[in-house]
Formats: sequence, structure tokens, C-alpha cells
Amino acid sequence: MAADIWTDRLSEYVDGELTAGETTALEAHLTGCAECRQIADDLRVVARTAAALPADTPGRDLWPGIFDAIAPGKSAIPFRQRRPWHANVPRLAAAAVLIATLSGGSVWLAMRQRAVVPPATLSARPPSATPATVIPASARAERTYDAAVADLRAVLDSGRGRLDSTTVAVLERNLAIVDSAVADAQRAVRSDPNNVYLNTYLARTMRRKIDLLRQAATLARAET
Amino acid sequence: MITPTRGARALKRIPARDRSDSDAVEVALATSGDAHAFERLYRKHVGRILALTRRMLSPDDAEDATQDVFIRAWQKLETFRGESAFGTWLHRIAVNVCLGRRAQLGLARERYYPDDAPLELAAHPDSGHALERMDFESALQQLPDGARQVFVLHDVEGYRHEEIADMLGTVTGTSKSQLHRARMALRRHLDR
Amino acid sequence: MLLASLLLLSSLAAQGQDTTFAATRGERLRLGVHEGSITVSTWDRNAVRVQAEPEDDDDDARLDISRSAGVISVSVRGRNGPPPEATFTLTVPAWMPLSLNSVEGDITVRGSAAAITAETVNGSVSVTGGVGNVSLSSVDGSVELSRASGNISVSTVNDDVTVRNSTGTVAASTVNGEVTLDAVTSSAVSVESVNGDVRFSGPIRNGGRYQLNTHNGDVTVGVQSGANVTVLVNTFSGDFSTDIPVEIRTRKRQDGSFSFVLGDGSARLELGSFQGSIQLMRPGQFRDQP
Repeated sequence: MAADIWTDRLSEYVDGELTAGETTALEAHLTGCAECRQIADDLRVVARTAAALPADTPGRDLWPGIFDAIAPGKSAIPFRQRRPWHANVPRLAAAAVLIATLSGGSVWLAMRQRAVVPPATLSARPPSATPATVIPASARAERTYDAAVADLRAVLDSGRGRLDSTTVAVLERNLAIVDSAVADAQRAVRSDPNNVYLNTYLARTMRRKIDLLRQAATLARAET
Repeated sequence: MITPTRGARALKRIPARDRSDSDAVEVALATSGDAHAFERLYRKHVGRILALTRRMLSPDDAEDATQDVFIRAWQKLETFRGESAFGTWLHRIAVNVCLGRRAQLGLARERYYPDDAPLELAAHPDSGHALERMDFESALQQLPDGARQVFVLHDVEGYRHEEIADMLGTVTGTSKSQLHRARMALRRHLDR
Repeated sequence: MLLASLLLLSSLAAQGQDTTFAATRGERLRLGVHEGSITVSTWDRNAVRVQAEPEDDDDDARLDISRSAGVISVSVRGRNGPPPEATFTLTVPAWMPLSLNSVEGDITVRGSAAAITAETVNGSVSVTGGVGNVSLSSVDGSVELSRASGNISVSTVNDDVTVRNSTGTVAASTVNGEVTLDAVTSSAVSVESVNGDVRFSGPIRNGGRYQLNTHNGDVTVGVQSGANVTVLVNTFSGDFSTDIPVEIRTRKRQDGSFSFVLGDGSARLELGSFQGSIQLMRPGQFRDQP
């Protein structure tokens, strides 16, 4: 029947995929065939309905499963192991901060060279642990930072009585601001220990704290 | 080492505060290893990917396949050149994952339909009144795999017949006839 | 060894002191006051005028001006206890380098064409001019500098820093405040805040090095069309946006950062905000920003 021949072409027609000649012929048929017109309308609606179908909302969070598969250290992801070694930087080794305290409470900072850690060592360990070659350096850096902070704090505290109370309040407030920044950076590094930028940033923020403390300590001493 | 790009300007415009803008940035961050940036991409695109896998496969397989899609995307991030939008690239990965799974399953779930027979879905008869009527999505799930995949790829996802034929390893003629059959079956389940 | 020659040691009576004396080109001026503001302007005479007004009616307050080894030192002292409070107004030759210190008080300098060091703790520093080493600092107060040229270092802790219409190397920092560099022509810029926005507009010069960083704040930079610069964007949870056509290069792998190149990339622009927005815009748009 003529109708069957035409109905089979209706999808192509509504999609504009017929030739000019075929289109003309089909449209001539449509003029006299209500059933085909109805089908053509329906097909357009189907296509529009399909195009407007919504996205889904996941019933459960799929991210943890994805993260487990892509996180560093997983042997299931050979792609990650092929990264160049200098991109695999252990926690705080990328910008290890070596802080030494001189007499008189003044301090200096020196940046250590990046530690070289072969990728094989890294991939064999779970993300939370740092390779044995680096743990002492990181811990030592943090301990010396803490010692320097304590040292400067002592100088500041001993001279605090000589400082104007407004100045003390300003310094304390800004030390708290920098402390908050250090805490942010530490949390970030804990969440992504191999991140070069975050390690570097943490070291810089710690240095900012030391600089501010040193400035405060200098002020406290100068007031005498 | 950054290679200076002589004359290579204006290749990719990132409008300020535009939605596509943050994809480019997140992709760049993710490619450099930032899993948090990749998570943001996941959250932005998971809804559409999940819908695609559900419609291409089945509700049971959708979540598993979706995870596979993102894992595969993470692995292939370095190959993303930015010539298309990230979402488009991600969808192509999703399609490949779905087609790969179908191939793995073989023809075990394929229902046999002669090529030229109209599809009859387990639906209530068309009626002028609002009877219990299978809704459009459920009807879509009822389509046989071949027709369903063509329909999803063409009408839902917007691929052209040439692309679909390429993906499915067939010819455009088959793609067109499968599409037509799917549409004809689904027209009975339109909300009116 | 040169002995200090006492130029003046006189009582800072209630009405204050107003004295002018000759200065030889090459001499520097140093003024330190514990409490009190300092205002310095310049003239084309080779002479220094010092006006000092005590804050309290302190019979024991003394204005002390001495000269030694090319340095003119001005201070106020009391017989016992802490130095008395006094307001200083100076007029100096434009060529005379200045070293000004206060603890409680603002410092203002206008029209200098020489090196300036101005430091206070509780107070603002505002300088127009300065050539060579220009070093301004406060703790609890804003620092503003304009029309300076040379090696510029400006910092405060609990307020904003602003540098305008200046040239040379610039290092600007604060902890709790904003840093704004406007119409600054430099090949070496270092800007830092912790809790505040940082802004820079000024030509990005070929081969220059520009670092702008903050922790909790936005970074906004104007980049002129035709600039040749490699831009490195660092952030943890912030975002980046620009209206400038850029191609993000994803091949450079540094965790937490990405980069792109404009022109031949000869200058280096490092932008970092831990959790704020980083924006790159054309200079015209920059000026419309609040």
C-alpha cells in the first residue's frame, strides 16, 4: 500500500534527510493522508520528547568508588605510574622548610632541594603514608618550625607588656589570620599529600607566620 | 618547559563566569593530577552520564557503567585536546563504555525481531482516556537493544546516523530503519 | 671621628619650635618620634625647616637636632621617662634622603625626589614621590605611595597597601588588607596578602616577573593586549576567569596549577589565591572594578 511506503520514510522526512524530490513527493502525499500526517506529528513529538529527557540523579554517591580507582598508589591505574618522577612529590619534601634558630630569637629560613623519590617506592605505598626516606625530613621540618614559633612567641610574650595594647591586639589578630591560613594549607596537604603546589604553598604560609612573629618580636624588644 | 605559542591566540575563548569556562579550568587542573577538580567535573556531568548509561544499558547496569566512564575519562585525560567541549568528549567515552559492555554481554539479551516487523512493546493499548500507560522512559527501556541504542544515540544524545553507524559497526540505512522502528513503537506512549 | 655638632637643643615650649638651618647636598635626614605625626614637604632651597609642636604642656620636652657624618638627626626627648608626644612638620630639599620613624602617628611625605624610609606602628604612611630606595611600612595603618621611582618596598600588617603611578621594582605586602598596584610600570613585582584582595594594573613588560598571591582573597590583574607573558595560576579551591582569549595548556603538569601563554611568553605572571577568585582582564575593564 502506498501508505506503508510513505510511513517508512516519515522519520527521514521529519529529520530533513530526504532529497528535494522525495520531500516534494511525500508532502504531496501528506496533503491527502491524515494518518500519515498524524504519524509525522507523533514522530516529531517523540523526537522532541527524547531530546528533552532529563538527566538522572544518582541514587548514591558514585564518587568514592571512582576516587578509589584513580587515587595515587592504586596499581589498577598503570597510567599514573608512568608519570615522571619529579611529579611524584612526597609530603613536605617538595618545599621542605629548614628553620634554624639563632641566639637572640632571630630565625632564618632556607628552602631545601626537592627530595628524589623513585616512583616505584611511591606506588607501593598507600597514599596516606610517606616514603621512609622522607618522613624524618618532613617531621623534622615541622618540629623546627614549631620550635621557631615557640621561640619567637617567648620573645613576644616577654616584651608584650611594653607594647601598646592596641598594637598587641592587632598583632594577635593578624597572627591568628596567618594561623588560619596555615591550618587551611595543612588540611589541603593532608588531603592531597603529593601535591607540589600545596606543599610549596604550606611552606610559604609557614614562613609568613615566622616573618610576622619576628616582626612582632622585634617590636616588643624595640619598645624597651 | 612551556612552549611559546607564536600566533596561536584566541584558539579557545574562556568567557568569564561562563559554565563552559569552569570546565576548561577544571580539566586543566584535573589533567595535572588534581582529583578535586576531577570530582567537580564528575558532579557536574554525572547526571547526564548516568541517564545515558541507564538508557543505553539498563537501570541495573547504569551506576557501575557510570563509574567505569569516569575512571576511563581520568585515565584518558591527557588525550583530551579541547577541540570539543569536555562534556561532549565525556559522552563519547560513555557511549564507548556502553557499547563495550553490550558486546561483552553478547546477544544473550537481544530479543529477536525480524528487521521489518513493527515493534510491539508490553504496553497498554492506546486509548483516548488516561489509563495506566507506560511512561516514555519505561517504554524506552522496553525497546530491544539495537533499536534502543540507535534511538538514544540519535534522538536523546543527538548523534548523526553516520556517527551511529560508525559506532555500532553498521551502515546508515540500518541506523535509520532502527530509529524509525523505535519511534513508531514509542509514539504510543507519548503523554497527551 | 666626626663629633656630632649640636644644631639645636632647645626647649619645646608650649608654642613649639620653628627653626630653619642650611643643608648641604648629600646630607640625609633622620627623624624619630615615639608619639606624634610627621609631615614632610619639599622646597628648592638647600635648607631644612623643622616645626615641632608638643602634644602636652611638657616643660621638660626638648627638641634635639644634631648633625653627624652627613646625617641630620631630629628627635624630641624628655628629661625622664618616655619621649614626649610631638607633631612634626618639616620642609626639606627635594634631594634630601629621609628616614622617618614613629610608633604612634601618621607619616606623610610630599614631593620628595630622594630615597625615603618611613616606618610607623600605629598609623598610616602616605608618600608622594621618592626616588631610589623607597621603603614604607606600618603595622596597624594603611600605606600609600604614588609617583615613586626606584626600588619600592611597601608593607603593613592590618590595613591596605596602595601604590600608584610608580616605576621600578615593587614588593608590597599586608596580612589583613588589600594590596592595589595601579599604573605601576615595573619588571619585578611581588604582591602578597593573606586575608585580602590583590590587584595589579600596569604594563606587563617583556621579560618581567610578577607574583601576586593571597590566601583568602581575589587576585585581579590587568593584561594589556599584545602582552608577552606566561601565566601560571595556582589555587587550591579558588577559581579562574578571564575575558582574554587564552588557550589553557594542559601539558604542563604541576599539581594545583595550570598555565597558559600569551604572545611569546617572555614575562612570567604567577597568580595565586588559595581559595579566592583569580581574574585576568584588559586594563580598561580593570579600572571599572570597584
